[in-house]
Amino acid sequence: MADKSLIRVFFGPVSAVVLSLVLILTLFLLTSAAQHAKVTGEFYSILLAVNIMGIVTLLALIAGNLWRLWRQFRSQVLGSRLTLRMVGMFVLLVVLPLSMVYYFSVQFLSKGVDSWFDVRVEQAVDDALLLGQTTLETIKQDAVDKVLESAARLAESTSSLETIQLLDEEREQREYLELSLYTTAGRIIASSHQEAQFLIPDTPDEAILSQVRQGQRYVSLEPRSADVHQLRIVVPVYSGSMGEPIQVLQALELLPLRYAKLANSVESALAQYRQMVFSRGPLKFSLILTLTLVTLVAMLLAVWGAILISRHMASPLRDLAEGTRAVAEGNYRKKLPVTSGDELGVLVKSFNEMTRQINRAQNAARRSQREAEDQRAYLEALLGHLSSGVLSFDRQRRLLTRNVATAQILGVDLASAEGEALDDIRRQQPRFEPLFAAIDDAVRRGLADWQAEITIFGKHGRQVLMVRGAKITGKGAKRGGFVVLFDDVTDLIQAQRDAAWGEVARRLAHEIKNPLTPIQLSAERIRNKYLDKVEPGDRTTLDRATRTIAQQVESMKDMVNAFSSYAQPVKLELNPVNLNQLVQDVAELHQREDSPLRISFDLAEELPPLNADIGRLRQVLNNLFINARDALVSVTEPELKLLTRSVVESDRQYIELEVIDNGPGIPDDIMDRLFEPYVTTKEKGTGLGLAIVKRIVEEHGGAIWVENKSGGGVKMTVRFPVVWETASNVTDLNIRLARKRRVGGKTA
Amino acid sequence: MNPLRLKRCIFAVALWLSVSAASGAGPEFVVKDVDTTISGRKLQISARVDLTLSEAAERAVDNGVSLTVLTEFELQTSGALWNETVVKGVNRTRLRYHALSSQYVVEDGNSNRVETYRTVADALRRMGSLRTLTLDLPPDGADQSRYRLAVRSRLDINALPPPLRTMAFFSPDWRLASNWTQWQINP
Repeated sequence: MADKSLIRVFFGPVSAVVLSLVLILTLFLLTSAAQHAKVTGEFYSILLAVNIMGIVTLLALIAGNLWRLWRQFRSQVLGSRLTLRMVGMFVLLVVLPLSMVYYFSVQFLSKGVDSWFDVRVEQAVDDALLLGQTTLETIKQDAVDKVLESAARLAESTSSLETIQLLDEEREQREYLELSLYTTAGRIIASSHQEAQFLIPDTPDEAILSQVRQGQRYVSLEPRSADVHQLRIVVPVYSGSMGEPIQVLQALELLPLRYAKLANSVESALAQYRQMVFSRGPLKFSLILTLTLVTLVAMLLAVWGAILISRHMASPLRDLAEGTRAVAEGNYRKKLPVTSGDELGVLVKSFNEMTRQINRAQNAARRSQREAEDQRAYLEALLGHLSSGVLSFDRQRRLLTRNVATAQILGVDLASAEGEALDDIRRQQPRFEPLFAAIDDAVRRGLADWQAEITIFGKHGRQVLMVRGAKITGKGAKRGGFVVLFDDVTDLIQAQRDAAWGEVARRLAHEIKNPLTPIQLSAERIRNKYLDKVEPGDRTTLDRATRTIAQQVESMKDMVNAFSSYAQPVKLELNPVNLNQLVQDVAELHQREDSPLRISFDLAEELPPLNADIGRLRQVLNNLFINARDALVSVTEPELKLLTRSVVESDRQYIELEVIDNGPGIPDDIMDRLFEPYVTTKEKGTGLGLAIVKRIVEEHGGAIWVENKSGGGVKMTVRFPVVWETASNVTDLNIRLARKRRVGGKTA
Repeated sequence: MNPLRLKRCIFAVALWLSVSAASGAGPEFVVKDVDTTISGRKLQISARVDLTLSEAAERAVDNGVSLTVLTEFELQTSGALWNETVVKGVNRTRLRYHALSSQYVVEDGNSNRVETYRTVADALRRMGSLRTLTLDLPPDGADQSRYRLAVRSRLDINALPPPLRTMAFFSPDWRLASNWTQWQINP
């Protein structure tokens, strides 16, 4: 990471500054080099190459940066859009003014350079040249005339010595620099020079000689140095007035210093001006090239700077965006680097402070949540280990919690009902209507603390629940509500009842049954001792009295035995029982050929087996058949109808047995107490038969009820729950057996 | 950048270089003859170079611009990989137009001799005729036959006036130079 950031810094601001400095320096040198003649071309070339390389490097860097930015934009990297927009804005701000400056500068340069060269100045220079040339021509003509005169004198010489003397005289007299005589072929004849050491004369070239041979004269101004100009005059020398030239005379004469300076001045100015005119195009090219380079470098540096500045400016915003995204994803530990002290820096600091606060709050909330969860787990554990069922509702009467004992007591897990309203739960669970109705009633009445005993027909049959409710107070819509606790007190009530009846039985045995035997023995002793001793008339009375005492005592004994039998706890031996078969077997015992009683069967096919004690069931059937038969004694056409069927109610399956007679029915005054002990319509009945039947039915988790038929007769209905031989049901059965619960029946 | 695109770029650059080289004026200076004479420890050199100016250069001269022609001499020996320069010398001649006398002036930088010519061709002919250059031979006294003389003539762009110099860098009209030519040393 450190290496990467180092590289980024090196290729970023550091390289930008270094490259900018190098380019600015080379541009400065380049502009200086273009204007100074002393700067060598090699140096200029190097500067130009460095500049071009710098521009290419800049272009490459800008292209690379733009390409990277474009890729980031395409990949929707955070901040890339903003950076790109800022770069575009900066580039626009830079390129437009620079382009305008460049355009107008080029125009100004072109027109400015052109304006340097005035037509009048050019004409003046040309005129000066013409004037100079005219003056020189006059001077040259004069010089030629003088040399012709010398040539005429030399033509008259007769000897070489004379010729040499004449040359010297002429040279000295006319102040020639050198005076030489040549043959027409160019061979030197004689020469005289101002300086004696110059032995070799400055011979004219063949072109001049050829011209002179043809009789023409040659004169020219020859610049030797800045202020030294010489006139070369070459003329033919004739022997007579006519004919071919016999010799060639050349005179070299220095232009007078005054003329030479003037000529040099004119020549220099003329050359400089013409050179400037000629260099006008290249000068413009040079200036425009330099301007172009400067503009290009400035523009590229500005673009590159725009990219770097945009990146730098967008960096905190990009960090902020990433930080915001991290916070949105739940990372509150995100810390952003504070890179500046400006407003963005303040914003970043505020963001860091915000995330710190959020993180702290989040940690506190997490701790609170953890504590709440711990408390909830503790509460759930507590509720789970409670034997009482617990239901809690919110203010809107929606079920909030229920514990395990609820499912054990009700036989239904209300997990799916959590969050549902009480009214919905009532509709879904009609079996528990009494329970939920009691809760609803208490809630509607706003009772702060209430208690009720509710009887429901649950999974295990009739259950008596002791229900207690309390209002929970709290602030807010989600606070408050009410809690309901309930216990299955069926076993408790049954145990209390068993204990009461057991106590009654014990007392009966102790207080009633025990004195009966001495009473009976005493009555028999009285009869045996005094029957023969009393008057015949009284003998019958005594006999009847003692017999009556014995019979009543015996009857009382039976009654006490029956009551003891009722009060004793029952131990069931459960086995699968085919009810249809049992009904048919028992009914056959009561079907006598001499009896007018007609028994009909309506037995359901494929009736599931019952898990029951067959002996107890037989006892139930016997009692019911006997009661029905006794009720039909006065009926002319006694009929007994036996019906079995399978009933499904609230997801539970039951087997129902109906015993229907066409007797006189049961009086309404005892209908409600029919299954209580000692309630009977028979003269000699103990009143314990139906009580025992009810008890056995309840022992099997069933219920029994009776109703008078509208057309006469009684319908006795017995309902047994079907307990399937599945693992869960066996478990249920075992639980039930383990609890030795005594389940009561319901009466219609 | 994928390899195909890179190849195309390289090909394009090579094509541009070759075209620009071919489109140049080429060497308009030609070293025709070089004659050497050893005199003691001196190597006397005379050379003949054909100098032909481009139209732009000739117009420049007529407009008062001085042209400097450099003729470079290098005494070389054969090395293992490349030739090794032992001694080098240069002859500098300057050509300018004298408007007052309508003559072309040739100044020999070595002899400081000034000559005038009526035509530019004469002046160039004179500039191409070099007779006065002398190189000092190495003092080791080794076999002189292993030396070779390399000669090249070129227009000195650096000597041009500054405004013309920039243009001369970019224009082939101003790239006037002969190739390097190798000459055997005559003992």
